This record gives sequence, C-alpha cells and structure tokens, in this order.
Amino acid sequence: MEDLLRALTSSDLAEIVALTLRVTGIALIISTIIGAPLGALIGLSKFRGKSFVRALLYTGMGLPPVVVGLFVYLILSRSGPLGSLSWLFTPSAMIVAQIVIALPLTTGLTMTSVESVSPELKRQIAALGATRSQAAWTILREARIGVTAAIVAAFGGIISEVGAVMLVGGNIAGQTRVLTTAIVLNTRQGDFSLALALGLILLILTFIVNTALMKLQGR
Amino acid sequence: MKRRPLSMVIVCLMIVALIMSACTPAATPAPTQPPTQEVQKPADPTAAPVDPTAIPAQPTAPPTESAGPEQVLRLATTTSTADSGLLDTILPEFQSKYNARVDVVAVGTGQAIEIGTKGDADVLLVHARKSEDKFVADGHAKERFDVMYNDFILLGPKDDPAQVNGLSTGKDAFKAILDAQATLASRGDKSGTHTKELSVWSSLGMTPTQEMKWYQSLGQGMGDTLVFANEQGAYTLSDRGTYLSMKDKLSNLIVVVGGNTIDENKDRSLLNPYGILAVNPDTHPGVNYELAMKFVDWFLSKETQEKIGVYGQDKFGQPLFYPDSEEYKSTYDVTIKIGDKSQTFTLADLQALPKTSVADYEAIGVKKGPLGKNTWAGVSVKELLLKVDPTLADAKHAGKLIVFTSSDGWKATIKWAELFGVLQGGELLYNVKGCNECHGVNGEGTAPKGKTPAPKLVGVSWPTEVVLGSLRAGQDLHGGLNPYTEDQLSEAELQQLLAWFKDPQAAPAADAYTLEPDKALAILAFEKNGEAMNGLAGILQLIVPFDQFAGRYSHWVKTIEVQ
Repeated sequence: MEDLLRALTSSDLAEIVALTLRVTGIALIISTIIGAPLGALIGLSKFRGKSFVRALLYTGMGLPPVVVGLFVYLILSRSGPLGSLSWLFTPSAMIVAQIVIALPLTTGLTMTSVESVSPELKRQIAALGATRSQAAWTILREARIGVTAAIVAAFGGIISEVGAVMLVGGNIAGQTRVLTTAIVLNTRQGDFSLALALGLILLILTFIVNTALMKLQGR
Repeated sequence: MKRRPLSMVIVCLMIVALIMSACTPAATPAPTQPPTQEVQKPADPTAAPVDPTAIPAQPTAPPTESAGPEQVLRLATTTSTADSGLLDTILPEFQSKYNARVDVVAVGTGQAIEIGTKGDADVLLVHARKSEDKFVADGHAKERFDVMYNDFILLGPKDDPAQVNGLSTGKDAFKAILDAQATLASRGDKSGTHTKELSVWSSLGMTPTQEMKWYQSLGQGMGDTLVFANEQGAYTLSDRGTYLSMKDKLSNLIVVVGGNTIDENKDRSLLNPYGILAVNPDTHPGVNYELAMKFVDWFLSKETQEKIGVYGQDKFGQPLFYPDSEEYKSTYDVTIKIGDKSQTFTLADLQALPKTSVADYEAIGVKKGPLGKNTWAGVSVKELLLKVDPTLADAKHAGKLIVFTSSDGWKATIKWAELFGVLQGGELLYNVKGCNECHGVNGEGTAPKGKTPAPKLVGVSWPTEVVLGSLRAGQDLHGGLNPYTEDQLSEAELQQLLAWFKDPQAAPAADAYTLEPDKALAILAFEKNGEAMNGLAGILQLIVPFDQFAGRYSHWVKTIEVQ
C-alpha cells in the first residue's frame, strides 16, 4: 500500500502513464483503421488463397513480440533500411512495433466476426435490395461485438507488451519509459513492491479503457 | 458495374489507412528532436493524450540534429551506471550546460556495444576492455578513454558450502566452487560482469558448459542474478556498486571474496574499469560526434570526476565508482593545513621534493588491501608538514593530532608524537601495531560505520591471559581479525600495552619499546616498485610503515590537517 502511494505520487508516473497511453493509443488507432476494413474485406470476399491468408493472420497473432521488436529494431537501426528516419529509441519506433503486433489481431478477429454473421441475415440484406457497400456496412454493424473484441484484444496485447518496446524504445527515462518497461526496471533493481504497484496501475488503466470501449460498443 | 461501389469504398479506406500509417509515427512524439518536450517535463498529463489531429501538422521528413535548440545525445551504457543512480546525479549539469538532452539506454555491455556497432548510439560508457579495444580496432570509435573504475566481488550464501570465505583471489574461489560443485549463478548475458567471470574461468583453463549442473547461466541482468543467488543460495560474481545498492534486499548473501571496500579486495584482477567511447562519424555518419566529444570531455573533466568520486559516499559509506581519467589523475593534489596556514601541493610539486622510499611489511591481523612486499616511494609526511610550518617539530605541539582526509571522505588520525618520534612503550606499541585503527586514537573505543565496533581499551585493567588468548586466536574473538602471532606481538610487548591501558599517564619502563628511525615513517606514496602509480593503484596513498605494520592508511589523501 505504501508502495502504491509512492508510485502514485512519483513525479515520473504521470509522464510514464501519458506516454503509455499515447504510444498504445496511436498504435491501436492505426491498427484499427487498417485492420478493421481489411478484416471485413477478407471476411466478406471469396478468393483463391483465402485460407492461406487466414493461416498467415493466425500465425501473426502468435508472433512473439520480442521477435517483432528485433525485426523493427533491425529495420530502424541507423545501419538498417529505414535508418535515416532516426526513429530507433523514440516513441515512434515503439508505435511501429506495437502496430505490427496489433495488426494481425484487429484484422484476423474482425474477419472472423464478419464471417460469423449469419448467412441468412446476409441473404436478407441482399433481398431487401441493399447495395454492396450498404450491405457491408450493415454486416459490420451487426458484427460490432466481434470488432470491439478485436480492438480490446489488440489493446490488451500491446499495452501489456514489454519485450518489443524495451528493445526498440530503450526504456529511456522521460522519453521512452512506459509502464511495462518501468516494471521491468524496478524488478531488475529488486524493488518488487514498486514494480507490483506499477503493475496494479497498469491493470486499473486497462480496466478503465476496456470499460470505455464496451460503452462505445453498446451504442 | 455492381461490384464497383464496395471495392471503391475499400480501396479509399485502404489508401487513407496507408497514408495515416505512413505519416503518423513520423509525426508523433518527436523523433530525437522534440524541442518542447524537455521544457514541459514536469509532466503535464493533458499534453500527452492521443491527438490524431496533430498528425498532419508535423513534417514527415526525418529530423536533423540541428533542427531544434536542444540537441540530443544518445548514450548506450551498462545497467550498473544507470541503476546505481550515478547518471541521474551527474547528467543534469551536462544537459543544462550544453542545452542537450542525454537519452540513456541502459542495457548489458554486450548489447551496448552492439548498439554502438550499428551506429545507433552516439557514445558508449561500458566495462569490457577487450570488446572496447576491438570496437576501436574495428573503426567504430576513434579512441577509448579510461573514465572510472570499481571492483567485482564474489558473493555467496552465508553457510558457504564451498568454503570460499577468506580466499583472497577470484581464481582460488572459483576453483573451490568447482571442486565443491557448489551452485554458481552466472549472468550469462555477455555483459561486462559475465565477460569478467569467463576470464576467471579461463585462468583456470576451463569454460563452463550447460552439462555442469551446478553452473546456472541465467541470461539476466545483475539485479535479477543477485536476487536469484539470494533465493537459491548460489555464488555469484557482481560489481560492488550494484551489490551495495541492493544489499538490504540480499540478506542471504555475504561477500566471500573482495571484502567490505575496494581496499580490502586483494585480487587486483577483479578491478572493473569503465571506458567511454564516442562512436566514429566516419563509419557511422548519422551520429552526433561533436556533442559526443563534448560529452566525453565533460565526463573526463576534473569537476565531473570529483562528483563521480563522492557519489554513494553518504549512502553506502564508500563511493560506488572511483574516478580514473587522465585529467583527473594529473590534477591530483594534497592540501596541508596547520592552524591558519594552508598550502596545496600538486602531484608535480610533490615529485619535485626529495623522495623517500620504504619497503612495506605484511600487515598484521587485518585482512587488508593489496599490499604485500612492495617498495613505495613518495614524500615523507613529516618533511612536508615542516615545509608548511618549520616550527612544527617543537615540543610545544606535542598534544596535537594529524588528521588525514581522503578524496572519498575517509579520515585517519595519528598523533603528533608518532611522526615526530617521542613515543615509547605501550603508547607507541598501541599506534604502530595498528590498535588505533579500530580502537581510536587514544584507546577510547569506536564504532565506525561499516566496521566492527571496537571496545574501549584504555583505563581498564585487562587480564593478560584473556587478551593474549583472543589475540592469538583472532577471528570472532578479535573483531574478525586474523590471529596476531608471537612475531607480530610478543607477550612482553603485550605487557607494556596493558600497562599503558591501565594507566596512560604512568611513565614507560626503562626498557620500553622504541622504534628505529627508518621504521617510523609516514609517506605520501606516488610510486610503487619504481613505477608511477596510476589511478587503479592509487595516487598519493598514505603509507605508514611503522614497525611491522604497514599501509594501514591506503587511501587517496586530499588534505592533511594539524589540529
């Protein structure tokens, strides 16, 4: 309890929480903007190689974050192909890594939820004379629980992720230190109770965001 | 025709998404050059939340180092410098002086060097000499500079199953652990500490492998490894700084090789020098070489080095790092204060004075520092004091004390009579046999921080048999010291000591113990065995080879005050 207070009153905490939300928030928005339409497109279309794409997406959901981090690190390194951007060890690199981790989740789960909308409803919509785009919109609305689940899953996946952001962000105090890397740092220093307190804060944060997302879904 | 609207919508969405994804991260939180960020640092949470509207406002072009008023320097370093709090303490000065922000990436030395090799850091502060030299040889840096050092110690469980405690070198200790097949926790992460551990193994002609069940290669940082060793009752090699900063959480571990301070570490091969390297702009054009060199110069400057030298002093009773730059070493000096007279001697001043040399003796009792049979050369403290105040030898000063203070805040006191040679009998024995180091200048007893408290001796009538018994047995019976042998303190000498304890004012007997002049000598040594001492051996060590006891004040003397 004392440590929780210590964590809460720490001047760095606000900064760390703000950065955590900023990095994860931007990564989530981008991966949703790309992932949801892409998932809907795949889910509604029939094309050759669809099962291969599906397998690819499912594999992507299981990508070890630290491998993603390593991959992003090598690409953004000054001796890598995108080195001139100077993104390594900045929040931008962390956002890139989190997008790569979140994208298979948003795409794949949206695809699944769109596919699981009952075929009867699809036929009904067609029978009512909807255009393809109207139909797509209606189906997506119908599948919104699944789409929200996709976003929630992606959010949970990236806000709690540590391997990749540690590697590409560098856990620089005041610059790239987020809740998870701060937890690792305090654990490394043997300050278990402070690490635990930060973990609790992360948990509360995730709970609040998820509750908000569910409210949105209800509308 | 029918298919078109949907594909149009989706294609449009995709394009929007791609554009967003292409420019957002660039725009977001200011890669390397956020001019406002540092200014607002007292975290305003409202400034931070996601603001997608800000995206198009910022340029997508890669930032350049000169874009903002504040420059950014990326320092890749080992966890020990960051976790110990040293960098947090000293960096703010650099940041304000050069209007720069230092981004500290704290990883293992192996990874730090890898980051430097890819050109992803501007400057490295690491501790693995061989890798550093290779880094320079491969052209990734132009030069490596000595910056500071501390030492490695071997920690082990309290029950000490391999019976390592008391061995003086890492090599002997590792041999004992190997023979006993006792659990050893290795960092196993190519860090500086791991590299040092492997070099100790290779001095035994072996390389640990996974087949050895007692050898646990963790692949973790120092903190994690210490916690593991504490839980599992394992031995582990650690840098002293990390151990000290976590000591209160490591109740099951004791120092088995290396003692309580760096001076007690007999194994000089366990010294842990840190190097600083600016990444070479010729091989890595992206680095901020100009700022990196400013940083290196600042780090090696006397002012910064002095800050390094006192960091940790108040919290741990000893510094966590010892300054070692060329500039620092060349500016070393000592100040003599006698009454209102004060004079400072630089190393060059001292070297110009008549040189005295002395062969040291094996220290009695104390498990003490690196001293063995060496010849030390330097300036006689007595001569130096007389240079400042020629009247100091007059008998009117007899009651005075001479207080030595080292650069790390440590103090030692000797009596005027010790230097100016009129002590005899028990009082002299008390000083030359080193009793005063723990029991106080006048036998009043002390309880110094970090040392075993020593009882008051003077004014007490001690039974000879009891004192003799505990002196000869040593260890627990005498504050953890090694036994005093007959050679080191005879029974007849002890009688004189006890007589003085009983009544300090009584006149010594006619055949009282006296000293030959060449044995009564205190010097400020700056040469060892004919060679100038570098920072690792200690410059201006005060060495006091009274009789058999030698080198009892092996610290860097900063001031000498006559009170």
